[in-house]
Amino acid sequence: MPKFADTVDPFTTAILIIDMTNDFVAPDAPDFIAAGNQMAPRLGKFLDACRQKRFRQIIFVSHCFRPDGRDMHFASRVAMGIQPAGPMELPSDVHMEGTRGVEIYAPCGPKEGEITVKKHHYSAFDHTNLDVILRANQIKTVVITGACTDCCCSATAHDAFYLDYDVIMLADLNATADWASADCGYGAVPAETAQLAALNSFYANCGDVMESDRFLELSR
Amino acid sequence: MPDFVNHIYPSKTAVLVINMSNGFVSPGALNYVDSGHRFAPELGRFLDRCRRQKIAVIYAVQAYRPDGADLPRNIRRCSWSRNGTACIDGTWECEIYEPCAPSESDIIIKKQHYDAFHQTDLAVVLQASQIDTIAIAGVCTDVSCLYTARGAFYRNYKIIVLEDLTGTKAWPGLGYGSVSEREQHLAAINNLSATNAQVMDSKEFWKYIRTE
Repeated sequence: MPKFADTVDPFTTAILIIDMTNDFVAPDAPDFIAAGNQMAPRLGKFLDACRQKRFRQIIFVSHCFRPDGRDMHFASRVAMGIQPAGPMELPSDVHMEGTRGVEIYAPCGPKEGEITVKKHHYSAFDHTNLDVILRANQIKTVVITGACTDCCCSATAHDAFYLDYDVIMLADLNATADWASADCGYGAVPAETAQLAALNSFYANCGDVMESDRFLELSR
Repeated sequence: MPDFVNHIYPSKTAVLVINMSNGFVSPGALNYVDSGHRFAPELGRFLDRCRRQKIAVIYAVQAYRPDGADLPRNIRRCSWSRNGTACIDGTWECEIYEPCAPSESDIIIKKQHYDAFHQTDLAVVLQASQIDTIAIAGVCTDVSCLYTARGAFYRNYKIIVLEDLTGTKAWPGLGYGSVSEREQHLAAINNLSATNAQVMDSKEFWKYIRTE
């Protein structure tokens, strides 16, 4: 049984699609998430089903930085081997605002009238206007799809939980990659286990986890 | 992930001890996390050394007012909250487990969500003390520790996670397969390392210390 209610109300439920951008899930992506690429057509079909069921808030989230890198986190700068403060030459245009790379991958892309929120950190709520948009539209339930399950999806789901939304993570429409939990010296965990660990933890301590088919059945 | 913490300066560093309260790590606790119970004595010794080195020790503890006025609806619905009766401020559950108990000069922050930064005065305390580096210990690795690290990341702190002084438990499955306590911990540890925290164990921590 679902945790919150027997039915999902499309009028008060927002579907979030996290970081399904070309730089993450297109076949030639520099930060490739293979499972996200494989999931994209299924996610596209799910979004079409949601559009038919008249979900009004299908919101895409795109991870991106300014071309001068001034909104990039300290640790990210160090990771890229670049100076710790001020404007800078970015070593590449990966995840750079205005490039094709930060656009949503076409098989699960937005239709006319659907919005994309830019984010700079893992959570789509951190220093963005996503919460304002959701509250202005009387959204009570937030549904999380996209990548990576254990990074941006979970971080966004946690923030939605703190902000008092009912939160549902769709188990078959969240994907992760090996690099999101690469062995740091204490032992390797395969991506499938990391995915399960994130979902189990979210289900035990935060909100609901279910399959997308079940979600659509409950939506009326 | 490259090392971005090259040196640890005691005056700019705080150890953040998360949810090492009786309600989570004391034998008999209803929300018992065995891994936290196991490393508690070692954490106690580590914290003593931190105090001698003048590294700030800050505890963050899950605690709710007895009248429930600060109990988030979403927390009440979690099974561990037992409909809002768990972790009531002033009770045994919210006291720090004795083997890693605070000394008089330590700071205790009460938190209502998993992220210790979320709507607490933790950031105020850190800023006032000009702390830019935080080392995270406690339970659970994949919940309060992970999301406090995320909160610290959004606020531009340098983050260290102490692998041997963090722990979690095997959560009830969803029906997709089981994940052991160790895997649940390691998935979060590896993810923290991949997302800009520096993971090390408590012995390694002392190698980075520089006195000004």
